[in-house]
Amino acid sequence: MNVLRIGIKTKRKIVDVLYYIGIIIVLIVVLFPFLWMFLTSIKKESDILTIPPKIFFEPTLDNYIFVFERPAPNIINGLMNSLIIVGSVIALTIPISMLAAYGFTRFNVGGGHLQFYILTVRMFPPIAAIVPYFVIFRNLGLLDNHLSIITLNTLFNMPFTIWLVAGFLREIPQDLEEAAMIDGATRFEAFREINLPLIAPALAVAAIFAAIFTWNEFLFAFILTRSEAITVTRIMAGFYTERGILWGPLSAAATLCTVPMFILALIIQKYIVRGLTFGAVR
Amino acid sequence: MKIKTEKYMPFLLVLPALVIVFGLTLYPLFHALYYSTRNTDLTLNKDDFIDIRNYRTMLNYDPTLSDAWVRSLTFTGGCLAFQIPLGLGIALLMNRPLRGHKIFRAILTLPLVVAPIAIGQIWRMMYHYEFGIIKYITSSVFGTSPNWTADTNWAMVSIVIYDTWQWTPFVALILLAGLQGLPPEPYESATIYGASAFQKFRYITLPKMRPLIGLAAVFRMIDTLKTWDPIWAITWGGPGQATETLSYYLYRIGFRYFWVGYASAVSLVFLYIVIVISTVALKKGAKL
Amino acid sequence: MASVSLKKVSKRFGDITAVENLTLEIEDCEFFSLLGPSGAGKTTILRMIAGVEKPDKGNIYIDDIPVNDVPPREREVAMVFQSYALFPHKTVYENMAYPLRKRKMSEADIKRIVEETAEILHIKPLLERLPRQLSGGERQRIGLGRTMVRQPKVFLFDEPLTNLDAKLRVEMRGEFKKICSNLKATVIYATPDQLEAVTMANRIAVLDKGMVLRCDSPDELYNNPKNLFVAGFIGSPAMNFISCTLTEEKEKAYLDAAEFRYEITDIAEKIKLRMTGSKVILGVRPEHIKISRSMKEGYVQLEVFVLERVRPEIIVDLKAGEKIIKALAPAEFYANIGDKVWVGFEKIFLFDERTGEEITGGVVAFG
Repeated sequence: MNVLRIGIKTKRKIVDVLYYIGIIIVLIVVLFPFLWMFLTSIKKESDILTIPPKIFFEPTLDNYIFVFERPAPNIINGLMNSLIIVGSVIALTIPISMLAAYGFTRFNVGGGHLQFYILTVRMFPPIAAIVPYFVIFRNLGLLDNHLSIITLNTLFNMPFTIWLVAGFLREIPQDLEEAAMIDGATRFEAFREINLPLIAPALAVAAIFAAIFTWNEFLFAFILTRSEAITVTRIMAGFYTERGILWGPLSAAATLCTVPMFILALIIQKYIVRGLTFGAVR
Repeated sequence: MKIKTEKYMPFLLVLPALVIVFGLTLYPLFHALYYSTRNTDLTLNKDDFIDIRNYRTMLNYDPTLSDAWVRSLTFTGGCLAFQIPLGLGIALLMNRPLRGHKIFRAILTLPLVVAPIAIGQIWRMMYHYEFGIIKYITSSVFGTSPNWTADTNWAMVSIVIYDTWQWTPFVALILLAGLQGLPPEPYESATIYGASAFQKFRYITLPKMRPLIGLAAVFRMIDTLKTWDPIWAITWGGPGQATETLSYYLYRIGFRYFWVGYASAVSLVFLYIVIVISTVALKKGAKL
Repeated sequence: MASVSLKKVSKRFGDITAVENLTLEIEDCEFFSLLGPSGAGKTTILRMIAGVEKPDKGNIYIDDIPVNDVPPREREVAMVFQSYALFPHKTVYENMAYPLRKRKMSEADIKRIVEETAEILHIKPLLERLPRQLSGGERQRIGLGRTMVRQPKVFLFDEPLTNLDAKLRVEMRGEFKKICSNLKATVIYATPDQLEAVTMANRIAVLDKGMVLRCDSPDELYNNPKNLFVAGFIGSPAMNFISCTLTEEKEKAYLDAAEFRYEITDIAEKIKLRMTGSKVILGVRPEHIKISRSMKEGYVQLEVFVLERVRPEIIVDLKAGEKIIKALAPAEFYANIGDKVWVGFEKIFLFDERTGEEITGGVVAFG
């Protein structure tokens, strides 16, 4: 009897340890590229391309200095532009999507067909649309202009945002707005005072995803910007020279590009998971 | 006046969204349609109406296009084959109430928030056939190692590995949420009946998770067909055209060669097929 | 306080007709009940009066003013939803203060009115809580409170007691009645529970499938249902219905049912005149059935099936062929299952089988 009980307890512990080991392995694989990125960014050029790869070396900030001092494209410019674009995209996407979601869920505008059309935008391979976009924006003189990037990113963030907000709205009974309206509110007031606070988490998640998607977006930035509206991602593509790829500065720039997203992710961890799994698990 | 706004209000709510969506999708669509019937070549300044010749070219004798299709399907297939099982495995691993659970989950989300163009080029560096650390590790462990991105046979694998690294957490997080939502009762009765862990997995967990696994698979399928950033970042479609999926192929003919006419035609067909496949998959997934 | 009337109102939702050509007149300061099963259209009617639903056809008047195109907030009606519709992100105080804030009252006034109302409803200690922390009964009173702070012309209640547990429901019925009698306003109360309607309302409109079957005082509906549906809906335990054929034999007429025959020679002519089909439905309320152990003139012999002791009375289930007839007996009554007893009907109603309309003008006494 006693032997049996000890056996089970130890077995449990062994299994736990195995799980831990498994998770640690996964985490090492997950974190390794980031680690390597950071390490490379503080290596001297001579330490980077070595066989075997060096793990111990003398750190240096040369790469970062190079990146910051580079006249064009300048990473400060890139970071600023990316920030402006992300802010504008969120400012556009959230209100427009919110209103549309309200229209779709409460009034069933378009009987589901409009919603479907918007959903297909998510399935759009951007590359398939880039050729026409390039020609159109060229003709409109909007190449290398913040506006084109902002509108395109807004477009591609809308399906997810509308879907998320619509899902949340459907969970809120219509009784609440109606009670508010009977008690003296206009529909607009009812929306602002009753619905809005209740969908705030959805809006937060949507804003975060829009921010991440837009900040990391490369294709449109690559093709549609040059120097004026250059984003930090496009700068990432500018490390190819006749001498070859400048790995050091590239890693530095990559680190700079990644750190804001890291911080964002760790702070609003809860919301990211909620957003990813929302709707998938009901 | 009051009546009028009341009646049209729902439509007005949706209007801004529709303006953006239709404006930015319909116009390019027509635009592409227009150019797809011409042989526009921006470098040669050609621009004549050539009817449906572009489409016939596509169907009849363009080996590069069909190759690109095959590569796209291989890529998608490879990604799904790895990401779904791995994602499920990781989700199962994380489903235990172990200490540090929150931190594990937080770290797991990191690959998802980083820009493919940034971390992709880091992977390019890691995959370097001479100095890359991946080659170093694999040759240390296995004795020999392929040249990864420099090897035509292994280049596609390199990208699949990258995509798996970045997106498996997505699958894992979705499936983890699903696992956590499973009711404990079936497991308890199974334990009473003496079922093994494997049996529980196969007969309880798996069937209940099927819809969610299907959903994750559909999401990944749609996204892998669209993948472009990592290819540019890691291989530029090379070596040769070894990693040139349809997305990248379109880029090459549209922006390197500026065959706007032909590119438009291919874009349209690509778009259409992706939407059809995705819609069918979603509907089937919803039924599951 | 205002009168409310609906004239020829219809409303459809897709294929489903919620309300069909409905006309109702509700008096000023009346306690009016909409009674009917689910799907009868009660909620739709309330919502159209409130203004959150527009009728497809017909007109709605409040105080003789047509309000079809008037938005809810201008109609001066207040509504308690079945779900209470409390704002989950606001405290109880804020929930109740909301209508007053919309009227731009001063904070001092708002505080006074809210606290007074909370006092009446015994919810003052809950003012700082959130709805999710409260029980069903408490939430219900807050829903009520939110309407009372406004002093509207019309109060609309959509099944307010349905979501409460049985004991609470009985308690609240009395409280409700008391509060409403102090309100000095028109009350329209929708419920599927005939007991609620009958105990609280001045007049009841019995609804089924979007149509008004009858609209009258509880007593009238009980004594003169005029209609099979109404007769079976009002009164608990429900009226018994037995399908019979009219037969004649040797100058006497009988109503023939499976287990028994009832002589009704006196009114046979009247029945023959009014019936449209071959069968007549005999309706008798459990409280109008007399049971005797010994044979009596005009009585019928039936077998006891089961006794339900709903103290202080007993419901006796009697077998009549395949059917069960329920009768109400005093507590002292005693019988074994299977016993044969003699049963007489004090008051019966006869309905036409096809139309459901009452054939005889109500009361026919036997035994």
